[in-house]
Amino acid sequence: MSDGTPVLEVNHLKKYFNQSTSVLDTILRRRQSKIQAVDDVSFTLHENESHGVIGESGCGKTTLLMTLMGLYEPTEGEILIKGRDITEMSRRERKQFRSDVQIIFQDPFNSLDPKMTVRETLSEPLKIHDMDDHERRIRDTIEMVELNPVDKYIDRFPRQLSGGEKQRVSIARALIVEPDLILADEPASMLDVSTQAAILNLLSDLLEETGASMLYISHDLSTVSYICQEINVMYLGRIVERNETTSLLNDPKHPYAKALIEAIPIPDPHHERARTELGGTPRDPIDLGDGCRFRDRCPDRMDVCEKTPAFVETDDGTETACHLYYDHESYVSGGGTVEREDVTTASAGDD
Amino acid sequence: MSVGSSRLPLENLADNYVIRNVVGALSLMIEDRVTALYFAFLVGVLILGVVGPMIAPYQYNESLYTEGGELKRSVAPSGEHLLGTTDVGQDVLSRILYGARPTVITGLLGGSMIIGIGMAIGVTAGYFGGWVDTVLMRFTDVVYGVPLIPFAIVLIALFGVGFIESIVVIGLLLWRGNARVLRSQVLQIKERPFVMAARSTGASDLRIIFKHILPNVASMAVLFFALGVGYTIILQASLAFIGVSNPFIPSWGVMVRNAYNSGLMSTAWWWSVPPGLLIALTVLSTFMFGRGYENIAGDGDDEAFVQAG
Amino acid sequence: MADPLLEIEDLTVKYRTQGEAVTAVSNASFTVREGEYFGLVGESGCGKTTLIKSILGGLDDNGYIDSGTIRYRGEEIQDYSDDQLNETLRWKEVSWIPQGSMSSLDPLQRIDEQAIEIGRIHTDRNREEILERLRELFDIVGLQESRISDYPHQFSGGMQQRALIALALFLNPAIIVADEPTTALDVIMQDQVFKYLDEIKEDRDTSMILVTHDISVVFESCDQMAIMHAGQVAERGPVTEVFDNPRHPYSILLQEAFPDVRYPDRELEIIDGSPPQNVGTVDYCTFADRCPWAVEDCRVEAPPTREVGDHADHAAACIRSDEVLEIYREERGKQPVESDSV
Repeated sequence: MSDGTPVLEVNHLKKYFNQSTSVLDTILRRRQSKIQAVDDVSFTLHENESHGVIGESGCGKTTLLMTLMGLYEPTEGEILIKGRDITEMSRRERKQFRSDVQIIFQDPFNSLDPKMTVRETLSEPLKIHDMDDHERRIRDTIEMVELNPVDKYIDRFPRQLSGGEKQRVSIARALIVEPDLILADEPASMLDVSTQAAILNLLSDLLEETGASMLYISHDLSTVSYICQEINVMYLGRIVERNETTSLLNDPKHPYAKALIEAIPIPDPHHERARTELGGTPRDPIDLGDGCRFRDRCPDRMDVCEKTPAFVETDDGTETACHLYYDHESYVSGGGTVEREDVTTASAGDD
Repeated sequence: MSVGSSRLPLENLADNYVIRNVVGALSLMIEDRVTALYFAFLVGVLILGVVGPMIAPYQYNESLYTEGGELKRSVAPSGEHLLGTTDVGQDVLSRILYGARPTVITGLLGGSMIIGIGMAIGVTAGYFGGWVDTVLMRFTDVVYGVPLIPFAIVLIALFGVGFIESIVVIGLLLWRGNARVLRSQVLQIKERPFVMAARSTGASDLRIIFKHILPNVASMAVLFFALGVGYTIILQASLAFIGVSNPFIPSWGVMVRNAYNSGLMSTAWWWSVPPGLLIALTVLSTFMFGRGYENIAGDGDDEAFVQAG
Repeated sequence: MADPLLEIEDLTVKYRTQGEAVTAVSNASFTVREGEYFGLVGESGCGKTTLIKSILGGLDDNGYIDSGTIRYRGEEIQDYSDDQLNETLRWKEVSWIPQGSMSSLDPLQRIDEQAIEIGRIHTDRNREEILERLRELFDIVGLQESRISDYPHQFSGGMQQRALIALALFLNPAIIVADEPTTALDVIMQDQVFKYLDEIKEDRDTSMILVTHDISVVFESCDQMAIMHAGQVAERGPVTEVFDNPRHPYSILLQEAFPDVRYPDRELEIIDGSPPQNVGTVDYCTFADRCPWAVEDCRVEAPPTREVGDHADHAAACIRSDEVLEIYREERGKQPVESDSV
């Protein structure tokens, strides 16, 4: 499929949750608080690309993944897989899309059904999607993930596999239906360092081989930069910076991206690195309202930061949402828009 | 070959993954001496249930007379009557052997009802959540409030005294204990990534329930089944005790009741003690067997990533 | 050079099992000095947590010290009873922040209440003195003094960790033993915590044993380190020496397996296999089956720890320690590293 249609296109995606309310709240008609887990996220992924989404816990990256996977209904926005908007799909169409998109989870110990052998785990997706030739496909895929000899592994249970081997089976399960898009929730982070590289290398190689694209979410910039060409930095539900990996690492623009990169420990005792100047922690993503969400912690805060920053491109190709890099006045008067939902006035979207 | 993948001669059957899991767990269990012992006892009771009546020396309701024409009332154990006789001259040993069958039926029927209803409600509530969950759990709460004996009496008043009826009464109420626990198990399993992986691949709810949820609550379900068997036997005996069950079917519980009613409970110990002891042992065996199964078949083998050391 | 505070010598720790005992730590030796931060690095199952648990008598019921000595300020403590440890060592000299410790704060007790409890058990200070001290410590770790009466859940993860460090400092111990203190924290929070740990080292001369699987943190924040593999100490020494001149194959490969954001394209090393479970006496090199340069002799007996390099503290347990680094550099330089699967 090389007609230029992006494998994945996300436009202004929002996913809000209602905070649980008490009976009293309902009686008094108090407006429900909204947890703005994902708030106006847009990006595009083409064939054979690997993009990363990094952010700390609470930034919304896991919710983003779940929504893309179809496990949550989006509150607003579009998700287009190979050009088709999945939010508009019927149930049967959704099933087809589900074989186009597969997910690999983080926790090797819980990603596989402990009661099923490797063979059974791998044949399940084939059965669901009415694919034939099970035995051959299963064997080929087990070989692809470098579990050799195949016969040694095919009848094993998860408890008989090491962490690295379990993740390989997870990868096999994702690849067996020949998806176009893989969503990965930092599958290497719970493995020992000595096996992490093997899994990351494997993923890289397989993507190359199959031509699939990948969206890799993580909080660990070191591993993401190893495997992704482009990185999105997420903070409190929004993407605050996007750039090609090396450029991002060398020259981050957004103050949060800068702080994040500067806080990464370097495995070198000779390297002098100053500790972070950043204090505090991210706010709760509830009823955040307008304005830059980082402004309460930002060392470069200005008055204009009370207005939500637009996501603009700087001269060197970085895209960032920060008032330091553009003039808000002229942007707005030039017709630019900043899309966001003002939670205080809009009607309650639902979960 | 590792446990769980041992092939039975019938390949298709062996591939059936339910059977494989159960057989695997059973064979593991036999390896543990103590649990095997309890298992053996239960098998023994089961066998008695089948062959009991055939090997009994006398009829269970046969009143026996001495040569002199006297009723053999409350005769102590002797060569002729290994466990003595009842107050109406019936051979205790024979009654015990006959009584095995109703006991086994009680246990199996009651246990099945308890776990059957409990699983159905617990799994449905846990998996689907929302209003289904609320309705089912409120229903469970209501059933919790129903006291067993009065309920039994009411039902008996409506449908008449009966052996099967007494078991059904118990089954209709006692599932309430395990429904809630199974539901929370399901809630936990539902959140585990492998279930999400199945869902995200497009598996239907039914598939997920049968292929992923049920096998993973199986060990707990077996435990509850074992407990259910035990409870039903004891409770049915109590119901028989107060006359709610058919008093002419000589289950072990009925025997204890008769011994008590005759006023000879302490003097004719050969009459009251054996059935009581057997009930206790059977119930103990099912409990311990169930626990053994849970220990062995449960998957406590997942370790945390950053382990101690 | 500062005085030695804690000396571990030839320590072997085992766990009783139904079969033969499992050896979690085998002939481990290292020294922690005053005012020094010591990093204990290793992957899961290497024995690092068992080792530090054994220092303070915190082993599980089936764990026991088989042989070797632990000396604190010159005195042997490996046979101390619980009472002796309570009286002389715990909290006062050595305090311990266990792994996953965010859950070791009682969620039902306010922080000040927990401090009062500790203070009452181990000192005879009164309530006011205890609270005063707690405020002092909160200040040191950068938490607002007014928050001493908050509940743990009112703090973020990083703040909870700092509160734990404050409690650990309560009785002015000479050493804090921290087991994976920042593993669950995001990178910025981790840095915030370490900022205060740096200050504590500067201002108070407290030593720390930092147990972690993350070698970057050790390289940045520690003075000396030891790398463990399946119960054996593979290499130990000043962090700069171990970095510049690694002499144990595991040490070499482990460092190369860690991604470095400065060089995101650098190919990472993969280490085959996984650490063995040791049963009984360990009379072989536990890394032999995973080592690309192992020879027959590696499996014949446990490799003795020999001094290597220029620094007196630098030592490695490898019979080929004088040549492996050169071999590795040659191999690496000549052709791209083949990655075998794990």
